[in-house]
Amino acid sequence: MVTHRTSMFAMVVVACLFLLLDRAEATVFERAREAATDAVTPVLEVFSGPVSAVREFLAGIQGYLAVHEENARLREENARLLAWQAAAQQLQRTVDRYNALLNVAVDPSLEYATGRVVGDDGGPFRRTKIVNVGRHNGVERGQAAVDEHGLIGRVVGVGNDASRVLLVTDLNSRVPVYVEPGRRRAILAGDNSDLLRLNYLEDDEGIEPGARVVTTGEGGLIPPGLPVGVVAGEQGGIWRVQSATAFDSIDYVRVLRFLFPRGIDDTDFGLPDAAERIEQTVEEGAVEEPSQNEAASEGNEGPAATEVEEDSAPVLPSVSPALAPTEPAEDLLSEAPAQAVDDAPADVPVEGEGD
Amino acid sequence: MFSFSGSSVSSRLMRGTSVVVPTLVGLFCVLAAVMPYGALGGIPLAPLFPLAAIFFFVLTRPDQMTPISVFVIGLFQDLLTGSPAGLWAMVYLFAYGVTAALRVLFVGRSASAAWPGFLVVAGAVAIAIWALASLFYAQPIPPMPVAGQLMFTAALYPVMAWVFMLFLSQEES
Repeated sequence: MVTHRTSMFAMVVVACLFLLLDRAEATVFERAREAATDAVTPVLEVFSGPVSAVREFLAGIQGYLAVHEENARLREENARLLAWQAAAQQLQRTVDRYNALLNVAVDPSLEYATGRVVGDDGGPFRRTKIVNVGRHNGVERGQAAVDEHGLIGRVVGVGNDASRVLLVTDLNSRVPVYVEPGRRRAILAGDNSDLLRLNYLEDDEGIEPGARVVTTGEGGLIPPGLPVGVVAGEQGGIWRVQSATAFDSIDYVRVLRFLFPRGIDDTDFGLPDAAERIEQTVEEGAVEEPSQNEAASEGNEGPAATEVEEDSAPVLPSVSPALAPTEPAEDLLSEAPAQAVDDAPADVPVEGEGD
Repeated sequence: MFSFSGSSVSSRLMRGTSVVVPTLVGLFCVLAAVMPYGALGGIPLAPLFPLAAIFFFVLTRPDQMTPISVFVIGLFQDLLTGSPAGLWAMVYLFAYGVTAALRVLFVGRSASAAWPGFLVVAGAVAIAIWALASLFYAQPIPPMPVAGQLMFTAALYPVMAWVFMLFLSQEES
């Protein structure tokens, strides 16, 4: 028993030491975590399948009990979404056409790796998931993880064949977002509960429950425009956000391999050059100098705008990649001009016609 | 001189294996605990299997469930769950200490008789987890998930103890 007391004391000291070292962000623990996750993932893959099946079966029983109400709700939602579909298609055509006219560089580097959730944190103070895609699938630390509803978290640890996703509900999660009416910026923070907090909100006047919350893309790791949830209400002076995702029953996760546009030359911001080009073009009398608003709203300055935009930094897509069609962005780009010309409404001048 | 008769080697091997059995069971319990069971109202539906294993083996095989074994089990859970390294190890060492102190009250009794003892340990562990995690993250963590998970674990303890008993009886036979 004396031996046990000695070893008990020694182990407590070692545990304290580990805690302090981990607090100092020792990379050795991160490597150990990655190695341990990689080693057990094959086992977890085998056993998590039946566990998920049982969980889905139990959820299915609950679903059967409410099948009539669910059916009525879905019919009503379907009717509403069909109306939205027509509006969305019309808007998409318009956006494609404007993108083509303005030569908007839709970010081409948005790819993804889809993985199955094979493990949970299993504890009361962490909100993480183990997913069976890793470095071999192109996953890197910091990348965003989404499901069909939008952002669910980001990758905080990567092994060769598995990675750990920190959910947005975790105590340590911080994501820059904006609340859509007015694009008011805030930091979305988790506190281990199902409702997220909006910290450092710019201005909360006019914000109402139901307002959409999306990512800003600041920081360069999480793409802009990813939906996170909707404002649920105010609690004790803090605005809360409700995610559409049921975090407890996530089965599949898509990790976005978003590469922030790089290679911007900081010594030459492009603006002087662009301004020179505009002046040159105006002096040559090729087009009349448009105001900024006119250039953005009218289509007949397409060629001039294209020339100016060539050297400027690429503009990121404002549509949500999580909810956008899954074909690569290159395809959208290549198809956009033809589609824009074919589907252009009669009252909008087509590129070249205005000259 | 050493004698290398077949029976003595196999008996030594068996003894060596049985020494690490509680540790291996504990490690397997960690794997079982990180399966994606989901949660209900923010309370994880994953029982703390390793805590039940530590409590059970400290009562039944105290010489084989040592502080080093407990530390290894806790550290394995830390690495797998992405928790701060040493946090679960510390929690389980605390559970080991409380169980060892209560051992005289429950030794030799059935698993169901040891259930009240597990309730006491689970309550102490819930407080320890909450305090340690709040200290580490420098802010109070929500207490309900901690309390809920420990209550869930305590409710399932007789079933888990029965499985451990079956395992031990298989090993002894």
